[in-house]
Amino acid sequence: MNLRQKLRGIKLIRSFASIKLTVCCLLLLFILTIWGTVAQVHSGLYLAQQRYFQSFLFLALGFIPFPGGQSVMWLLFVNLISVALIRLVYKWRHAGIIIIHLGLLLFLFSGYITLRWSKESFISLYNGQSTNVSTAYHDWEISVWEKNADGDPLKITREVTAMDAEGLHPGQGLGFDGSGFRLTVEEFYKNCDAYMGEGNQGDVLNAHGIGKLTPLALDREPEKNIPGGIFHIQTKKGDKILLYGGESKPTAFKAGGGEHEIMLRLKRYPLPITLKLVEFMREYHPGTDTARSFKSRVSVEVKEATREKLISMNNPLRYKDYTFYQASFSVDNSGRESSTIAVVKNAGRFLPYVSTFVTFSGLLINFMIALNSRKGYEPPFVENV
Amino acid sequence: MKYQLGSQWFFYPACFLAVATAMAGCEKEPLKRHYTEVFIDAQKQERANNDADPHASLQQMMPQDEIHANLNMRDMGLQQGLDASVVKTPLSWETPKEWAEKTGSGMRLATFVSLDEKHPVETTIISLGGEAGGDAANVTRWMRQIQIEVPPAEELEDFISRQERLTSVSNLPVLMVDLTSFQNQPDSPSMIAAIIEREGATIFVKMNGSRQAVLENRGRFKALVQSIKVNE
Repeated sequence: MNLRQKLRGIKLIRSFASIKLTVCCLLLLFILTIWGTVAQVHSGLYLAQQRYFQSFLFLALGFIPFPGGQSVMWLLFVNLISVALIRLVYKWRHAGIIIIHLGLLLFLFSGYITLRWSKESFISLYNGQSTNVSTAYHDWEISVWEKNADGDPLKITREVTAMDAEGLHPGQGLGFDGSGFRLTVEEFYKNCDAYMGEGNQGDVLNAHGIGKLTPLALDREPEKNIPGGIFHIQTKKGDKILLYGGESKPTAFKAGGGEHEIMLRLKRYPLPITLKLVEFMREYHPGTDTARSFKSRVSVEVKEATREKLISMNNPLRYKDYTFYQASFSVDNSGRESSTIAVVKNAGRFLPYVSTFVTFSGLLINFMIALNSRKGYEPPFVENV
Repeated sequence: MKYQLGSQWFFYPACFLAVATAMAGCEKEPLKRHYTEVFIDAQKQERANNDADPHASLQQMMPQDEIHANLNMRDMGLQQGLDASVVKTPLSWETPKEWAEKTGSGMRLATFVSLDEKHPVETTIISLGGEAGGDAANVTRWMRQIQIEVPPAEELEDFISRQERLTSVSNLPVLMVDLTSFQNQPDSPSMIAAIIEREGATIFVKMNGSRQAVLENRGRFKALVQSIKVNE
């Protein structure tokens, strides 16, 4: 008995290789696609994506468990693998089907890579500004660094220790052991309002004099949610710090034998380059104040080597797994322009193209074989497994 | 051949739920990351010098109004631009007792909300460079915001000339603009605003709410405006 026959003897693998499972998965994907598309009208794009396509499970109508897109695609992936193991007939005349099968597996694989490891962020700069980090759109972090009293106001260099603020809850400990202190979460809200003056917690440290946070319902647009929290510093003095996402400067405090600054801010992603906006240029449609095109001349510094590059609407900058797109711009009251550059990190950005090529090649080969075949129809799958 | 339901039909739903529940139950721990953050602003000193020139803001490419304070401040480029356009007047004020002060953001130096939930009002303080458009332009825009028909220019000037003028504790001239006289219904969205002029900047204080709420809080608004002090 060869390996395939042994595998066919395992009931679990036979069940996973069932065509019924394939049809079930495709039907669920169809339902989720329609449902998620309609839901985004009310829930917003981000929440609809998270609930219907990126989750494993969600509660339909508030109480009925329903598989999310990730569950369905994982099962479809297992189904395709099982079919490849025990049902596909490996003959040259079925080469097209086998290649299509491989292409579908690659599609699912590339989707997982993108979901798991791709990151989108942005950089906003005025002319002459440089940075080596990009900013997340709506993920937050608690960042801590040593306070530099004599720092150059024109150049900021910080060694930052950051922790994701996702899912923080009262009682949770956050260990900044390298800096010599720990924080305990006393309150944390994913969306809240901040009020000046003394609040219910008594004296709290805060750079802007905020004393109180009141929770708000989550907005369906995640970028409108501003989190906040009160944290207890585990030192002899036991200070409390209030952090609010809408603050523009950090709060200073003493702990672990040193002075630190802490901030609740949008997550920063370090880049492999330092990007400087040399000049932002904008063209208008003649006779109007509508922008026709805008582009940024940037200076890219990599390991002390610098080169200039132009980023425009259809001409992004690519470096390793990063792509920098010209996304938008803004103009302040005095006419100063800043450029916003979208940053996408995606190690698997070529996989969808490869998958498409493989699937298309399989289709082409299958049609050519079928057209030239002199034998009768022979099914490409083992039946009655 | 009759299709018989066997145990298999339980298999697929059970499969889905088992996988989904197992994966959904995985809780992520906060990740700790270390990185070096570098930010260089080679032209910061030049911009600071330009801000000292009151004429630097005369070429206005955006309307000088707090409508733009409601823009999505998560666009950091926009927020930087708006922050840069605000004249950082060192002001202080006394918050009326029945109001709570929220933290300012972007163009807003301060936001106050009334603690009366039945008749709520929201008041903002904004400071902008230069003359900020002029009295008539600002009053016209505020009227449009609360759907009041803007009168002809002569009538508008006459209305403005009849508005109360007072001084703050630091002797800044204040023009109070009361738009409640244009409305009859207590629930109509209404506004009382104040324009405070100082050298190189204009301070706008604006109270929004229903006509009834705005009238009930008129005294507190006036007290806030008169308490505004420039800390030189």
